[in-house]
Amino acid sequence: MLLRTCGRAALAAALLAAGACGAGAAGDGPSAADGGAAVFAEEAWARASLPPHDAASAYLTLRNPGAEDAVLVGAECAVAAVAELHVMEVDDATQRMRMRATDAMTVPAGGRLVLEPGSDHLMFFELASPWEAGEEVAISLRFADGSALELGAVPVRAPTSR
Amino acid sequence: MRRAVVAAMFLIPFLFLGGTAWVLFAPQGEDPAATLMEYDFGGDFTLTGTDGEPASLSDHRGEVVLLFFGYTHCPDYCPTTLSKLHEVYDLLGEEGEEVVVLFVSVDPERDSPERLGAYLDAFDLPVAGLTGDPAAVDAVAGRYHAFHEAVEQPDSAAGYLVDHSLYLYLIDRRGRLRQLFRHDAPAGRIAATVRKLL
Repeated sequence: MLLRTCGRAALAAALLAAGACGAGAAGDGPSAADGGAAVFAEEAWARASLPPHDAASAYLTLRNPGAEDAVLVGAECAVAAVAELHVMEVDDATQRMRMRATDAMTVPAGGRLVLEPGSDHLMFFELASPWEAGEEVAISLRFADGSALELGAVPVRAPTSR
Repeated sequence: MRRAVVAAMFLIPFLFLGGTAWVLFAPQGEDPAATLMEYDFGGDFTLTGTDGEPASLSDHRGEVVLLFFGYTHCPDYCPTTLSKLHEVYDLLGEEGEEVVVLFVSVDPERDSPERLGAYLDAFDLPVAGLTGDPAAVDAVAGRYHAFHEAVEQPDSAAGYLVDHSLYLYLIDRRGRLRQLFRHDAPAGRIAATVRKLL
């Protein structure tokens, strides 16, 4: 069982959405759901949740080959009630780490936005069930221009992945 | 002169091949170890272990200790650190048997011994979790100059997040602090420095 029951519908929707504009099922090709920002994702993965399984995180690189900045404003996941964009800053002198929820992350025109461990990331709360390594989760990214990017099958990796 | 040019023409391909071979086959240099230091802070402390019993740094006399401060509601940085420590153990191999990780919770109000134990059990590491009375945790963090502050997050389902410092503390077999690693220190550098204490 790779996807939770409630994730299947989302995956099907994501596949339809991706298929509609001729992109790959895993959302790793150019894929703007409704012809909006031509942002695409690469290297998306989620970390398996840890006991007591009340939160999980996901990482990816977003590339924007377009001429205008794309602004990520939110995310949804079929197997988590809450999805947030988190930014992390580390003060170099004191090694003080500061993590905050934000409502916008910019993918610069012609550039990229990297979400990676120990840095900015997607955070999920109120999980429908534990996220276990080997599963896949469907994540949808929303942009300020109203477009969406559907990542139909994001692999969940072991807690020790980096 | 002409002879020198001809010689050079013969030599250049060999130099090129030699350089290529060096790049391909030279041993991958391990990160250099950090210098061992003496500090006037740190020292022994007692908190509560994941079994609910008192647990002290001095329980690990004779072992090399890697200490850090974190909390279980932190699903990004703390697993990332534990993952890096996995890599450190991989590099140490059998030598890692005399090395233990101590994870001190900077969120003792939410991190009960049971919760901390279940979280750390998900990592295949020799790691001991410590939590306890908030005032006692504050005192330990203070002795290691480890900053931590709970910050309410009105815009997040996290409730509150804990800003904390990311240092990894290297403690020798006698319980003395010998080095602080920054959050971006490579696993190879940590392993090489640990090895100097074994």
